[in-house]
Amino acid sequence: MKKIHKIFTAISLLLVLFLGSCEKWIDPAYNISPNDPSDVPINLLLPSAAASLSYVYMGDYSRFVSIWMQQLSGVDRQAYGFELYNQGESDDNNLWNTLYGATLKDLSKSKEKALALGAVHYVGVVNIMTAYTLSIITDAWDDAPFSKALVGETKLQSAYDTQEALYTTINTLLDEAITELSKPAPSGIPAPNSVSDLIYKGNIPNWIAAAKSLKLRNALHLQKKAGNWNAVGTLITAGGLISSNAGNFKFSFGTPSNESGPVYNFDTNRGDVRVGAFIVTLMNSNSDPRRPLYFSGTVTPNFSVPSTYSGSNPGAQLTSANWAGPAVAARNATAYFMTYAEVKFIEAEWRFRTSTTGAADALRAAISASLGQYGATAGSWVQDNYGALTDATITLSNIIHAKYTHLYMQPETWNDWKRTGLPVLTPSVGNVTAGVVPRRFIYPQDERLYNGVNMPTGKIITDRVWWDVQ
Amino acid sequence: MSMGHQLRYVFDLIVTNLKFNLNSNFMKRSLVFTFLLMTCSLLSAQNVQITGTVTSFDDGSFIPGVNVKIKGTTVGALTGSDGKYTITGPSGAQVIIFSFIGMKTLEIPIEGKKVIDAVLSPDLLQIDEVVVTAIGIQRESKALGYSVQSVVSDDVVRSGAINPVNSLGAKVAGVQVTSSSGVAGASSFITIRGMSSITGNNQPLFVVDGIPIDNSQLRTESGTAGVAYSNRAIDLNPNDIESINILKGGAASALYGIRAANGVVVITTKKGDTTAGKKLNITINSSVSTDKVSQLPPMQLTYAQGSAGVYVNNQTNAWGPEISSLRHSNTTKDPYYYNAGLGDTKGVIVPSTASDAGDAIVPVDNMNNFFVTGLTINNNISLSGGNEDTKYYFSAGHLNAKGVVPRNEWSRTSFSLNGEHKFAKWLTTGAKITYANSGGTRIQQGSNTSGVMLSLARQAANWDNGAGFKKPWLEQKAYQFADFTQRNQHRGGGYDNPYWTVNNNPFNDKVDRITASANALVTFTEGMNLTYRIGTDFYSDRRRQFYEIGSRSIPAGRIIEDNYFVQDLTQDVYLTINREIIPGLKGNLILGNNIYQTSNQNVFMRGTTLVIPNYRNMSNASTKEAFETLDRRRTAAWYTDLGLSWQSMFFVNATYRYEWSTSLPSEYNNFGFPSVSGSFVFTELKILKGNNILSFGKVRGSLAKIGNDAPIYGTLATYPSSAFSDGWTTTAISFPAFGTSGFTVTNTLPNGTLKPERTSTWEVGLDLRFLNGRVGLDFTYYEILSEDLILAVPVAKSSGFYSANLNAGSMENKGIELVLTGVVVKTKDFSWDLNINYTKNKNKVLSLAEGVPNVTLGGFTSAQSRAVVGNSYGSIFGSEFRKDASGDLIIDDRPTIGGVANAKYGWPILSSSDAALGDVLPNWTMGITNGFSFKGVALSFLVDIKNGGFMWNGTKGAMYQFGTHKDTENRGAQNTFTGVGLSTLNSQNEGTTVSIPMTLNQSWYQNEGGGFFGAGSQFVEKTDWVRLKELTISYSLPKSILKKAAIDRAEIYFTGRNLWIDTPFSGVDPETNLYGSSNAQGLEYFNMPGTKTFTFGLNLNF
Repeated sequence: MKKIHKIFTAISLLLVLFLGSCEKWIDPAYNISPNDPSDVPINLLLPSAAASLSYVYMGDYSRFVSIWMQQLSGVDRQAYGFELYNQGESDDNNLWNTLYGATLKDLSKSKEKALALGAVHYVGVVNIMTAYTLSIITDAWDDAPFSKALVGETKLQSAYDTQEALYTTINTLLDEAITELSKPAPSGIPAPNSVSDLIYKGNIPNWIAAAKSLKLRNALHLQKKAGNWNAVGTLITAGGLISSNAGNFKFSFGTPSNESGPVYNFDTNRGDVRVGAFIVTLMNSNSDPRRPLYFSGTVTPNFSVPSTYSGSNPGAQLTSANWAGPAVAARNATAYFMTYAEVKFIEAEWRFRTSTTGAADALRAAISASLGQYGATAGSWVQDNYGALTDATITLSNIIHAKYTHLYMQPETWNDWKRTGLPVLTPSVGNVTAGVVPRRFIYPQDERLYNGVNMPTGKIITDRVWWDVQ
Repeated sequence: MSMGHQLRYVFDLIVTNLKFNLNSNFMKRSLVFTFLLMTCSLLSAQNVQITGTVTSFDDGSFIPGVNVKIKGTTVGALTGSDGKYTITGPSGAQVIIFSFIGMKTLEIPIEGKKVIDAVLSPDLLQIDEVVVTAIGIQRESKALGYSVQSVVSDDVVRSGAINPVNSLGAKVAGVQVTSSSGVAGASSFITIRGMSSITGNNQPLFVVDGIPIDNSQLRTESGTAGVAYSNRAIDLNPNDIESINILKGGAASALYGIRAANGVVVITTKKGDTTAGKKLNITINSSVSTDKVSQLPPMQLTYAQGSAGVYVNNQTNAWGPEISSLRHSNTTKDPYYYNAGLGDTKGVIVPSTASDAGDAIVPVDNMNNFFVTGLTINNNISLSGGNEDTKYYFSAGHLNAKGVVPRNEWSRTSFSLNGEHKFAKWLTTGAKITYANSGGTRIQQGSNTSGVMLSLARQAANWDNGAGFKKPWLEQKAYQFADFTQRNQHRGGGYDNPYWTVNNNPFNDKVDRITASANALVTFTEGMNLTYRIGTDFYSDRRRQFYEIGSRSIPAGRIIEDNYFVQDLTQDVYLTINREIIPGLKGNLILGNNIYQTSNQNVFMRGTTLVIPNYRNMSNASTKEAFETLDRRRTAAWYTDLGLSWQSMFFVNATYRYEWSTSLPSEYNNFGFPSVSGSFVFTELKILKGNNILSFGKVRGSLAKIGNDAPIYGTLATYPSSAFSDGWTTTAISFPAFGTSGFTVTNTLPNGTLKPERTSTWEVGLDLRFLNGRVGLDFTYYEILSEDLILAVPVAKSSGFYSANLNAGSMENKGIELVLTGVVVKTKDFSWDLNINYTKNKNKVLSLAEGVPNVTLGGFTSAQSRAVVGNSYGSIFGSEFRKDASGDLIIDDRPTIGGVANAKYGWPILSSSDAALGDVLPNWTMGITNGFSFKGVALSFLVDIKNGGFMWNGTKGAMYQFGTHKDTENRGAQNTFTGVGLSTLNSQNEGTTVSIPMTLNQSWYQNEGGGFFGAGSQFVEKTDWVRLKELTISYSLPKSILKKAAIDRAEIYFTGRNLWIDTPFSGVDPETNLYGSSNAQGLEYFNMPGTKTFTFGLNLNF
């Protein structure tokens, strides 16, 4: 029996040994992925947010709006459907999903990190990018999730904020940004720089001007709801807005294949879109010097300068119309979010609306800025075409048409059209909305499927957003 | 020799030494191993000598290796190669026992005789057969409360299958094997009792001699394109396999834990053979096989390249004029129409009415011309032997398979060595090492413009890919001009000439694999031993994919260097205690510990934009990218197994395994797997015992809860390098870019509270054997309920995430397995055996996550394989025609729309939403083996029947689009779809029947009637089949002849695989899958075809 006793002792010891080593063997660190970092510094998170925002803004978002605003024309496949205002709930899935699932998610994580670090300039930059992203979301979708959103860790279904609340949030974010950016950057704390800040390369005064200019644009939108121009005027008078093309709020794509812009990629991969007859006709009417930059030949992507410019009328499916030109369709094209020219256009409209002097000068300054921004060879073209305008003869149509031409493939044209009804557009032939041009996006399929309890129902593409009062 | 053998040996030794009063059943049970008992004879007194000869009842031949024993003693001997034995036992010996594997044990009273001859007859009943179960433990099959089925060595080797997984096809009830195609090196997918995970692994664990091995199919490119990869069980040399046991139910595999959630394939390899006391046994197996393509999609050879009836020389369409209306010009030459016979070019194509019309154009069957006869040469040798204390087995094998696709080649070279040595009465050790080198050259397939089937099926017959050469793949002129540009039907565009692809876009892979293990058995005391086993499975898989400059899929050229390094490590230590508690009640107890680790490092380099043609080195690339991943996981477990048996009549077994896994969050990383099983051999009841009608009868039942851990790295947040696009473009931003790296918060929400997947299963079974085993019937019914299945559930992106790892899905399998065996005729010279196995498994996806009706497993926009709630796993999902309330087609009955003639007048209308179009899984399958033997000649054939199951024939859909399919020869024919008019539909979705003739033309086939823009439902076809899966004829040379040549056994055989098939599927062999060994089954899109194989082989034993 002694022998058996010894054996059991030996076995027990052995078992204890295994039991002890078991905990080491099942090391939780073994499930930490070595393939992707578990954490990254804020300076490597911000570039991704800027790029994802820019890509879908200039891609899906711009394409829908530009087709409806007749700067582009969908001539084949799905793009032709959009031309007929036939936007299905899965068509804007990718746009929404990227803005929330990449841009806002990364911005939200960046802000968390910036606050923890006390990196005040990062807080400011992140706030401005968040505010801008939210504004393009709400201008297209009206009510949208934000205050209760982006917290998948605790809640997978996010409640929606009203557009009114969102506009307040956007302004608060911009005000906070101006405050934070006005503080000196604490030494030894990361700050946006020429590598991490793909938009302004770390230029803080430019960011502050952008924040103030975005506030101005938002005030312009809300003017339709509030009915008075004071808010707009206050911001213009206060100054500090974007004051030159060097201060434009923009993102430039690159020449390598992994940096190329969305218009280039769409045109070479799919190619179902040409330029719209409306903008071509408008620019032909005064031989606009931006045409070789806006429009190119009938074969893409060679960007040959066409001898004549022709666009496709909405619904006409004219595949022989011009393609979009290098200003937007080059590999390394620029996505403009807010420009000096736009600030001047807003100023011109405010002066015009409030009978404040200087409307005509502001308009001429805006157009000159636009030509300079695109690098058009203008000569005396501005003077030849707009020199005779005075504050007495200027019309809203002058301002909005010129602004529409400046905002080439920039969705802000849609907000102007919603505000002013200009330019006057003839709905596409064969449209599916009984002749009504879309005034909003429908909520995407994924929201309906996976957040149906919160998503407002019954919204159609011709409904108006909150500020777009009848 | 496995642990099981050693255990048994020690058990026997102890029992014998203690001179237990053994009943004959126990003796039989041990018959396989009792030859070891001869070691004990030295201990006994010796004073009676008996000699004799043992022969076979079947053919009167001598049987070497028969165990001869004096009853009630430890005295034993073995017969020699002449069947003779000599035994010396104690005086007073009463009875001699003769026992041999597969033969009935014979007891002969000595009664003072000095010479006792014995004639052994085969044991059909084999109720005492021993099978290998979980952890390598050997159990009597009658004690098992669950179903286990095995396939033996000869069936594996003679099947002629290169991939050991294929040798199991249609042979085991409950097992489904799907080979991905007939090309050399292609993978096979195996499942046991259906699918139990949504997006996780559904294949069984492969265990070789107690060591789990990797059976992954690793990819280099996307699932729908690239080449046919191998599943790694293909590295096993079938000639080394002694037997394959399939552990089907949860109770059978519960002791293996998480990796065995889908069953276990237990492979036992050959061990040192000391039969007949020979020190050295040599076996040689050589075979040569030829392969031919079994069936191909039918092509039309009537119409030329072009559109709307007009010849166009660079189009992908075959909607041109009749080829007979065209001629080669006799004035203008066309370099694309090379004329191999003249070493010159032919004329451009002109109408027969043209003034320069010359030679007629001979239609070319490019598809049939392309495939060649495959040739496989397989040579194996093994040496084995040893003595009482030491045994060894060594084998070397080499196989080279040249496929039916030119340049496709796959080889496997393997060496295996195992040995065991008994150092002392209390210590036996063993070790094993296997090295395998495999790989070859694989050819592009599937959905890519360099895929050979895609190119062949879109080729109009006015063109010859091979330019008239007999072996065009050897002739550069057939596919490439002197300036390195490509000669193809689309004048450089379109699709690669398949001869270009096989030469210029090769995929080469090379696997070096070592599987090694060591074990030790320590015997403490009677019935108590400790086993230790450690093993590793380690391989590198180095791959290179080259795309020549000018290849259609990658015009700038590309070189991919893709390296995998996979290592598995397993260690088991367990204590076994066997006791007879009271007479008649035996107990056994196992306590064990297992640890396991797996890691897979992938280093992937991609060079793009090549500079110099035909320079196949990474330095030729202008842009180089590199990626690395390391996937790893560890588990640890305790397990116990308690068995009790009473009088060979009642058996109860309970197991429990408690396991930890690193892939689960620490708070939830441990879980238990209980199982209980029992069996009742009712023919042991006094009232039934010994009757010859129902010779053996057993009921069995088991219950188990098993589980699976989480996918790795699913619990913690990560920041992947950022890459995104908009909804319409594939190329977009990927970081590093703009002079910086860029990271994004992961799209899949990690879950720190993941629980293991749980599966509850039970089964009942009945095992009946009649007429002394001539007829056997084994029936099993089982149910499997899998819950808390982990999947990345799609979520609203306003949460910040695209998907969330959740325990969400549940799925069930219910099924019947039936095995019928019969010896129909048994005479001295002739026998006829019949074996039928039948499987019916009904799978149902019960739930996914809330609000998630289906999850995509793989596929295309036009058709996907999905898991759909309420359907069986793997539904084909795609577009269909709209139906009215009573299920009739809705026909466009508007002659004009807005004053313009309606081009689709009379056409059925497409539904706006996709739907489930058919289940991939079959209703039932059946394998019927008939075996005949007459003297030395044996004939057996296996008929494989599959009922139900659908596949998407995407190839056909595309061929409709391009007008190359035989069916499109009906272009211009009138057709009337039966259905109701669109304009007659009322609010209840009911309408009035209309009869509107329409024309089956290019417009129809390129819209609603084709595979690109039409209803996918038109191309979902039944995959039922009846096939002659295997046919084997073997001839064993008479022993009388062999004796002179000192050969123990010589056999020649012929095997045919897939010689005949009857199926409604209209493309290649429906036993195929684009994704290979993957959950996404039922997709055929330019897959490589299946093959018929003819093998001639020779087996020699010295």
